Amino acid sequence: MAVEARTDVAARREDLADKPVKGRSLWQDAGRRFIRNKAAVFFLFLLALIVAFTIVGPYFAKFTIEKVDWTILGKVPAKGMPNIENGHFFGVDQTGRDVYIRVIQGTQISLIVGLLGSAVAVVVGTLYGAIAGYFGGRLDSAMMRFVDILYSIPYMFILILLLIIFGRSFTLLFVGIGLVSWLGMSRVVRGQTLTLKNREFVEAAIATGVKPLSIVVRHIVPNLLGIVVVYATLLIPEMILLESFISFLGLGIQEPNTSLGALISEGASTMQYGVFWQLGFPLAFFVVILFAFFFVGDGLRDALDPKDR
Amino acid sequence: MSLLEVTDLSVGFHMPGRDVQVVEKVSFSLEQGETLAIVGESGSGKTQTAFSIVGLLAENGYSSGSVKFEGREILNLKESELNKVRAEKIAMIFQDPMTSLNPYIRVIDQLVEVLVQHKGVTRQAAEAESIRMLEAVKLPDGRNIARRFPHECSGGMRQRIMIAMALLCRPKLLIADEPTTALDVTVQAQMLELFQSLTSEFGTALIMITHDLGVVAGLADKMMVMYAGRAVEKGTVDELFYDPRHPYTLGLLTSTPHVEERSRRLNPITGSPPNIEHLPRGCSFHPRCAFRFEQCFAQIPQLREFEAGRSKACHYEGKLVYEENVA
Amino acid sequence: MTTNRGELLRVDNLSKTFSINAGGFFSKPLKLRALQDISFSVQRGETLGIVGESGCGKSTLGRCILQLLKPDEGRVVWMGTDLNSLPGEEMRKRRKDLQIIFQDPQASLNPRMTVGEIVADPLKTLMPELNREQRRQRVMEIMEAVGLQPEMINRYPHEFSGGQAQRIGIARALITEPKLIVCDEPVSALDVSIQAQILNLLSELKDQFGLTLIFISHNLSVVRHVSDRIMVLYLGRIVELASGDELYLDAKHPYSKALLTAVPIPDPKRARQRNIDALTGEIPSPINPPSGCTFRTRCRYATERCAEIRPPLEHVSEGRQVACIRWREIDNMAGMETSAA
Repeated sequence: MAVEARTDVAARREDLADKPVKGRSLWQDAGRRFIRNKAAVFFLFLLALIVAFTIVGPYFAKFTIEKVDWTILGKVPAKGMPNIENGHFFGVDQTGRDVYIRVIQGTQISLIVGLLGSAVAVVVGTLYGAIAGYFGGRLDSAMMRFVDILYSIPYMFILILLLIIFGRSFTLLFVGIGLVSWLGMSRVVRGQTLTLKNREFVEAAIATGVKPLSIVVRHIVPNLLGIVVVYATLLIPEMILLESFISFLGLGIQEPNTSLGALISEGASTMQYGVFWQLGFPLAFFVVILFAFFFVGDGLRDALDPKDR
Repeated sequence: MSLLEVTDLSVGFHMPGRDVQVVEKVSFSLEQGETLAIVGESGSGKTQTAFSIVGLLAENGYSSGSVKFEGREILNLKESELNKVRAEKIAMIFQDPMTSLNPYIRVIDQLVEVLVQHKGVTRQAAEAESIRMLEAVKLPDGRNIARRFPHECSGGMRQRIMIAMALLCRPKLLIADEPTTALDVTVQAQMLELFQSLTSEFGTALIMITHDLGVVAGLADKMMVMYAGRAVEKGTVDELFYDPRHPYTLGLLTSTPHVEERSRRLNPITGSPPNIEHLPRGCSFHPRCAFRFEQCFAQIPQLREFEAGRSKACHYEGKLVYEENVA
Repeated sequence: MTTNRGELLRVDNLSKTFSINAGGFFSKPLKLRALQDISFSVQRGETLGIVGESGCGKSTLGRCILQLLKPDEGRVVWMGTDLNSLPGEEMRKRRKDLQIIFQDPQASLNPRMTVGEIVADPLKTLMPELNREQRRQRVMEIMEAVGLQPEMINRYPHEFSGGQAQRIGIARALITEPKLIVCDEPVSALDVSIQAQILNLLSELKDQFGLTLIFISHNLSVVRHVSDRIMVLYLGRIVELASGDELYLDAKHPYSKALLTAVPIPDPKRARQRNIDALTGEIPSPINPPSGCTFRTRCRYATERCAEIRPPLEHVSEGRQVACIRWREIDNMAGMETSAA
């Protein structure tokens, strides 16, 4: 029986003929895995709801954050409960202000603090860590020692000290948080960069004459994004906690503005009067937001780090 | 009664949303003191076949069929029962010795643990026997090596320590999964020499899993070629090397460069090994086969014995010759 | 110093040492001599095989030639210029002609870039005069040449099998039409049947593009198949340099001989005839190599002199060199054995 000599090309065309042309990137793979994680998707949905709530909620509010409802003032434990008819959906606080709109604003502020703090960390921390890790040597040592020094400063004390000396200000709070949030990220990114820079595709880029800074930006950073996204997502609740703690101490956001931390602080101090709604609503939002970010962050980590290949 | 009798062994894994079959009805037997080579490339299922014999499948793995050792069914045995079979009757050596040895425990302690666990001997006796075994695997100065930690030993030494550990309880069957792939050529030669002497000295039967035909030629009595989870050809080593009856076997032989000849051109098998989750219809090999015809597209060939002790899973009955090869 | 007309690359006395931290804050770092005093040349159009086991320095040598690692001593003379002495920008210009193919196909491709982007990348850096359309055109042509369907241009590396991924690596190395390609174990990570495809492909491409290849591998059978001349390395030194036939039929250095007898042969009858007679001992540590001839600890012909003298590379015949002070005697012994048989 005669044999048909088969060329390499012929066999290959059959092999792949049925596959579509658009590539399936690693992000898409990760997206698919993320969607399979029911808890993560649920909490992501919840987060989306909360954000939507902060945007749409104010339209339903009958009061502003500082308006005092004189009719209830003084009789808060008895008359200040959550009530659909008088427009105080979440009740009234000890100084007669509407808890509903204040919780909305508190949530907005907390989320913004978390997201901005995280954003600073991502931008500054990633570039810092990638450059230190890629260029190595003395530059790396110097850069990371600087990080170590900043890390070892008890920033909580310093921040509190500054806030007391210069008075409470949103800007100062931001600066303080921004200064420390990128430190952890830079270490994580540097570690990952050290691993990546020895991978052969980086050698290949060098062999094709790509300049070092170009390599960092085009080859290293895109491969870092996985770990950066996960770390950033887990950083947001940390930032919110930090701000809340400071606000809880009474040093954070200034009146009449408020954050969830401040609201919780007020609510906790008035518990003895039986006005549980003042603590309950902000606390509920706070806990749900933190949980949500943790679950989503976990889900992202699992999605981006597949083990069932 | 054969030492090992595997009948219709199938292995699969539960994956999210689907089950994947990686080994499909594989059968073979092994007598005392024989050496069988299971040959295949990545995705052929050869490692999973071995793992399922000793019950080392992953959590989400499942197996069916029959594996009889000395007449006794051992497939899907309870852990406690299986543990008695392992080490004492069947031992396994893996490809990467670094991951098989505990880096935090000294060599001697790892060896002693095996003996004490399985034979219940005293520590002293276990130590003496362990050192004897280290010397049997040609590790000179066994006493010295025994005191070391695994990372203080070279790759070749670690592989020997693994072999020593495997042989401590004088198993009747040794399964070696690509034991020489990670080793240098000269160290590999030492290892193969060792296998040869051990099988003759201790009378151990050996299943050698490999993709290296040179290793097979030097060591094995019989061989089984696997492709995409199925056995495609079985027979003695001489039969398969000099008179292959399956196109894949022929393809493997002609695509292996031979150090003593410099041929102008290798005859590779076209295409790539298939994705085990998306096997072609009919014969899994047909997309790459130079001898295929209509039946191959439609019907999966069953493994059939066509001569005493020889079987193949192929519809084609003509001569397997590449016209270019004749030159 | 005039260069040979046919000589494309010449390496003179190249050495590379790594410093390793032995651990402990106060201990001095140890010196790992990866390569010592390497000298050889590569002729235009040939395939030079470099073969050896772990610790021999073959991968380090490949990288030193391409200046991916900086040699500590010696010269790498490429078309008349010493690459080792060039500043970064000058070296970058020459990279168009000197390319490399790596061992692990998946690791050598950026997982976040499409095939088209990966293969076009060298063009962006080394041939910036081309516009987007011209680049795309070249990418498609090269993909065809290496046996990849051009429609796959938008796929990602992880969607390809090992063999196909290696083809992508080859396409990337070829796209600037280099003169020399260093192949660092290009088939070691591939299945046997795919190895043969890639080896054939390399051979075709070499003819088609007029390439010169340096083929690094630990697999002697593969190296035998592709190389014109072969260089055997042991612990960072050249022990023998000869043509393929000369080496495989009549190796002079004891290590080369041992290496050849150790290679398993896929032929059962031949395998049974052979006495394996394996080499004893292990490869010594490159941090603390034996004095004199580094191979003497495992060599059956070693004498006391071998511990004292480091064997220089001696000229045996046209194009053949051996680094062994006893090679003539060993040759005679072998001659007497065969005539007595």
